[in-house]
Amino acid sequence: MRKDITDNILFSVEKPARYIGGEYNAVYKDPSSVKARFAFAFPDIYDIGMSHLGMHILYDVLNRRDDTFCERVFAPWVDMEQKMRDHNIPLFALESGDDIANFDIIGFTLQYEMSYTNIVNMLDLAGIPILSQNRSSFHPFVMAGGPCAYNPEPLADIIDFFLLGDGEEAINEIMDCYLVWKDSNSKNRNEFLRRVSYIEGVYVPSFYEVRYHDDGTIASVEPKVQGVPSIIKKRIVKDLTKAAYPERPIVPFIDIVHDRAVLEVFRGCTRGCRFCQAGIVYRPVRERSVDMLVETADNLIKATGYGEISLSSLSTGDYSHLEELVKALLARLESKKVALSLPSLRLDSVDKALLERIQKVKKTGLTFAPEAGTQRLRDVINKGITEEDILRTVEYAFAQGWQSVKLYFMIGLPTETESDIEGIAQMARRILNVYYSLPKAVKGRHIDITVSTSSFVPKPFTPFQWDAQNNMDMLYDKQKLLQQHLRIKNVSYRWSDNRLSFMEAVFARGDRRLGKVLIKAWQNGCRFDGWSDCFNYDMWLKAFDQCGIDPSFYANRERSYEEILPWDHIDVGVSKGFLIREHKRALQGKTTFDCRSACIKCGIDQWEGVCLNASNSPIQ
Amino acid sequence: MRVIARFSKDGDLRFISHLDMVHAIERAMRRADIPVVYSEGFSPHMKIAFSAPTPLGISTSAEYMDVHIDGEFSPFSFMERLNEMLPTKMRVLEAVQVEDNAPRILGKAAIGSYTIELKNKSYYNLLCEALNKLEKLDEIVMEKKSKSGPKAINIKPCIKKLAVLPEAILRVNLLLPSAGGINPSVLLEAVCVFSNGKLNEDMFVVHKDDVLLENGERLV
Repeated sequence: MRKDITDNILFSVEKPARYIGGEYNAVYKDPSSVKARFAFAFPDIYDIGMSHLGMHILYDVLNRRDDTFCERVFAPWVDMEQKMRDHNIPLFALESGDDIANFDIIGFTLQYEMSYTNIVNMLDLAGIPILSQNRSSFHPFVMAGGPCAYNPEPLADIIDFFLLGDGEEAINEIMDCYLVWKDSNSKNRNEFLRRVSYIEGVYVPSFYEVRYHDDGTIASVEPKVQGVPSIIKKRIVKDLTKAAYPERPIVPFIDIVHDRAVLEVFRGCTRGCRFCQAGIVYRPVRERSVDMLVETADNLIKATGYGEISLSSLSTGDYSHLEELVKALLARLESKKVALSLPSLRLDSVDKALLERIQKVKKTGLTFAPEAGTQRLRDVINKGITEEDILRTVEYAFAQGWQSVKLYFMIGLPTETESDIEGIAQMARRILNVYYSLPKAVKGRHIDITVSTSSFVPKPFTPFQWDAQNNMDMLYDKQKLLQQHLRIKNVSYRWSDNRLSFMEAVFARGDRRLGKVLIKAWQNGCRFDGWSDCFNYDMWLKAFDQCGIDPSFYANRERSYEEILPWDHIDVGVSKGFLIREHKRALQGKTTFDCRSACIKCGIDQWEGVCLNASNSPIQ
Repeated sequence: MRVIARFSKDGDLRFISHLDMVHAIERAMRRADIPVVYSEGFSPHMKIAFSAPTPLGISTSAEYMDVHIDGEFSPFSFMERLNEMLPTKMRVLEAVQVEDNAPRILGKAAIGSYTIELKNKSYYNLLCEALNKLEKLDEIVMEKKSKSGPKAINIKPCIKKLAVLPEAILRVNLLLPSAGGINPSVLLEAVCVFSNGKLNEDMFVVHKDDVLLENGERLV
């Protein structure tokens, strides 16, 4: 711990353990023994950031290198930020307590758009110039990756370079490239950026010129430096079984969001839900072998002492060898009293006896995400879950004694009508009826159904990337309507803040002109926008006004297929042609099947040898 | 078999809560592969009892755990194996085996034994003056935080022993809050008040050395 973080400061803030480090498995190196210092920066509080698997992976990869010391840095909560500003304490790394302003590289992970003001705030707290162009040879390079990096444009003025796609291999290439540049004693930042831009997956936004039409849409995006790629391809780790896995993750002292060992069973998803960005950008599906996973689980428990291990992926029920894996894991874990949890399990795809064995301890909550209230709209969004599936599963679950069901829906989806909203209430009613129709002897004594709606945010690289977001009045009316329909005993309704969804929609599909709005909003006091007690919508509106930018241009405007989108120069492997095809099928209410059964030619099949499903018989 | 062990928590780990400390011990037990007995029932948990919480921010060598273990284990290897797997600022200091049916002793701790040090030794005289004033009083009424809000309490009977060493170090035994007593911060507040505001609580470093039975004897 740094000397200037006194006991007094720690006594005066909430959860002081967020700022002390020293956790089991945290890596400590002698800074003078390494050539480069890297700060992995998570733009939210410790409790959230420590639950993020990607951080544990890259921390491990970087610290396996003898020449590099990777440390962690999180956004201090508002109470700690105030103390740091009062006492002139710059943002520091958790392990050494050293100022990150003196590091070589700061790497931010972009998990959600509403964390962007925290990036600005963290740079400012560190004493690093917010704008990339104002940094000199004394300053670290600021890089960013993660799912939101696929539309990097709103952060183009702030981040020196982005890494698109899987980081396990690319981060080593970036470090190698950096050390060559550093050893050459060059003070020319652009020289390093030019070199690093040659690494596949790396995007240096300052090397590109964006021109606009009079109507505000993009006219062109072109490289202005010779030799840099005009299209930037994301990185893919082809074989995850052979890829590095953090077997000694840091074990936090305080309760964090996901307080357990995490086993990522596969990356990617074949379901093809049309609203889902993760389902596209993480393609193709790459599974880890059962043997590797079982061995890793053993090692994880030994190295962490966690009492729970959770299988993680976008849709764990789809893992090809799920039953084999779960049986093998249970055989090893049960004797050690280690619980197994499968958070994103789709109940329709799971052997029920298996489910019973996994969840025999706690029968508290059952979660479904039908996303839309009618079969028609579920077909539009290609959510392959039917009401019969759900009713069958809840009947079974109620008979086993489960007493609570959570249902997640989106409102504001393309083509949505009032009857789709009413459909949400009908589904809740039918589930309730299943419970009432069961004999008292078999079911639990209470029933409790929670319906939650989030307001739909169209995302880049999805078939809905051209669609307008419903304006806030429309979303509000829909929430009001649903509230009326859900005045049912034992059913409760929760809805999301439409103002936040609106801001998220602006930044999700924003371009680089939004950088100045972001900085203005931060100057107006915005940070931790994803936290309802911190989100200040008026200050955001003021920032847009100050910059003369209309947010609805980004959120509520329908785009044509011909329009150049701000992220069109990024290639995630899935083709624009496929997204257009899927968009048209959506509007016709036509579903597209899961591509585990046959290749649907999404475009990733054109990338050599990355998709195992590409060899499946193509769609007829 | 059953082991009672005393352990420390100091350095920055002063800032982790009692519950977080409990979790850290449980995880270390699993890493060390010590076969702790689990409770029966819906959510099985390790059968480990802990002594009452030490306030956040105080370094301590006075934490106790009472552990039920499946099979035979020498207390020494229990200590060694656990120490290998604990975070560096937590250490098992001693461990003894007790009979399986021995009474539960941790709840009987009534006195906390502390070493309180003035960071700046030149305030030694001020400290002695304040303590002299306190000694002459029959009653020292201070405010104590309780669940139902602040409460006035005469802390004089809570002070079981108080000795000042010339290095500006206090050796103090106080009745523990769990036995109706006070935390050392309440005593320090009184000292500061009687120094006429010349001393403040930030000038002291508190270490909890041990907890004792009501008769002043050690727990094990």
